[in-house]
Order: sequence, then structure tokens, then C-alpha cells
Amino acid sequence: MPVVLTMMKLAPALATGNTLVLKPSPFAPAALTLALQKIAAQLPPGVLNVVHGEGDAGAALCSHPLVRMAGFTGGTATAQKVIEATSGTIKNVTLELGGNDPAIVLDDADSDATLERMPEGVDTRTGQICFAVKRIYVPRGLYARFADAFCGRVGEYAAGHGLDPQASFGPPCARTRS
Amino acid sequence: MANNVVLSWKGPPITTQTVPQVGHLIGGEAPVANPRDVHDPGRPDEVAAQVAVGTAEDVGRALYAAPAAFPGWRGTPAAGRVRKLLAAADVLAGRGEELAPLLVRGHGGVLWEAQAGFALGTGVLQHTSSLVEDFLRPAGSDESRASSAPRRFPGVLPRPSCRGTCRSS
Repeated sequence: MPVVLTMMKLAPALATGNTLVLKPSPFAPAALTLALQKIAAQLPPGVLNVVHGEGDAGAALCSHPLVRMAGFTGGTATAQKVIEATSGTIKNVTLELGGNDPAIVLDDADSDATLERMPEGVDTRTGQICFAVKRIYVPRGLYARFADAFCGRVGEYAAGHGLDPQASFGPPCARTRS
Repeated sequence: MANNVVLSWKGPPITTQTVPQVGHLIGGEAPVANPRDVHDPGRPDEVAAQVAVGTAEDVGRALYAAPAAFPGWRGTPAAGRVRKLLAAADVLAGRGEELAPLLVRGHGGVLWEAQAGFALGTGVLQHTSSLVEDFLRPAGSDESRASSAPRRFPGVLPRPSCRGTCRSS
């Protein structure tokens, strides 16, 4: 969700009168940056800036004394580097890292309604959402029926290129993700 | 268990289309330098875009531009900032259809998910902008409201403790 997550950082920062430098994820830089360029055209020059790059660019941003707050969304290993890079200049830091989110199905749940929505919670954006469901707890008495029905739903996915109108399940953004 | 269908899309190769060149955005300029290929995860042999890779010099220029713009932006009344951000939200909403396919080509997923991302992002920008004037109003300035809502702490400060991403002092 690169556009949404970026707006969640950009909107409060700019609305309250701050200026910012964004470094988009190297996994999703192109469309987001073109959108940011259009947004920036509505603002005075320099209010919204974007620099692409890898870890060295991020480290330069995090360690710079003029940067008063660093917000990061991503993995734990990179977050540790953010903490390290910001430590020398004592910044405010917010970290939005991966989750391990469970869904809990109760005995009296409406099974049909739950099954209708659960695959969306797991696999929307090919599961590449930090708060996507990663574990499902089901009462023992419902387990077999639930598992069969859930796997049946997943088995109906049509995996393909995201621009193929027949595809219901697109590729992950990087080979390291699944 | 059913067997998944794996589609082989026969759409036109992206290499026959114009590959977007995406630069940085520094002080209102969008220089493209040192570009790297971004491959389509659905067609790994195809290049979806070419995106600049920043150097320490690029970072330094951005970190000069942001503080330089800070006094004017912070000095703009909140209502003025809101107007500009709502205009920006309109632009984002208007570009979603155009940019969603590129988001798919660069980030995976399927088209409706990318379109939803632009729509939700627009909503975040609009909603946040709509809240900010009230958020920045000093606590206690409206006694009738203050009596029915929790007072922000510390109420004696003229601004909430929302620190800037980048500020000049």
C-alpha cells in the first residue's frame, strides 16, 4: 500500500506546517513519485522533496542534524539501522514494522460471512499489507470445515499479471516476498 | 482443494511502450540522474520504469531545500495550507487511473488494488487536512467545545507537540 502509507506520513506533516523529504521504498518508487510530483506542484517549491536511493541515502537522511523526525515503514532489520542512524542527533522516530496479526474465529461466528471476508484479509495485495491476517485460529469443532472451505476459496484464485483483467491474484513486488 | 489457475497474460510487452523516467524531487525540480531499471514483477524481463538513484549530494540538496521552504510554509495560515493540500488531493484523485497501471507494473498486485490505493491515499490526505485547523487551535480557546471534549495536554502551549519532519531550528 505504498500510496496510502506515504499519505499517512505526508498529510499530517504538511498540514501542521512542516516540510519533508521522502525516500520511497526501492520496491515501489515509480508511480508513487510521479504522484508526489503532481502533489508537490500544488505546493511551494521545497515543501515536499523526494530522494530515491538505497540504505546509504536513508542513513544520510536519518543522521542529518536538520531532520527533526524520521518516520519509517518497513522491516525490522532496516528499522534497527534507522534507530542507529538517528541516535546521534536524538530525533523523534516512528516505526511501522511488520505484524504477525491473528484472526480469531469464535464458536458462534457466522461461518459463511467469515469465510466470505477472510481471504480478503489474508491475500489482498498479494498479502503485502503489514496488518494482513497471517494466522487464523479456529475452534477445533469448526476446523475441518473451515479449512476445507478456506482452501477452496484460495484455490479459486487466478494468479497472473496484475494488468490481466482475468487475474485475481497478482505477483509480489519482490522475489524475497511470498 | 481446487487447483489454482495460473494465467499467461498476452498483453503487449512494456518494452514497446515508453518507459517512464522518474527523477528525484528537490526544491520543485525533478532531475533524473544515475537511473536504475525497475522491473515488472509480473514480467521480470521487462523494465517498468527507470528511477534515479540518489547520491549523498542529492540528499544534501534536499536537506537544503526543505528547511529553506520551512519558514514560508509554516508561516502560511493553516487554512491556506489546507486549501493547497485539498487541491493536491484532487490532483492525486485525478491521477489514480493513469498511474495505477504503473503501480502494478512496479509493485505487483492487481489493478483494482492499485486503484484502491490511490483512492484511499486521497482520502487520507483529505481527511487529515480537514482536521488540522481544529487540531492546531489552542486548547481552551473554545470553552463550549473544551467543556465537552478532552483538553489537549499541555494546554498552555500555543501548538501541539507535533514536531516537524524537518525544520530550520
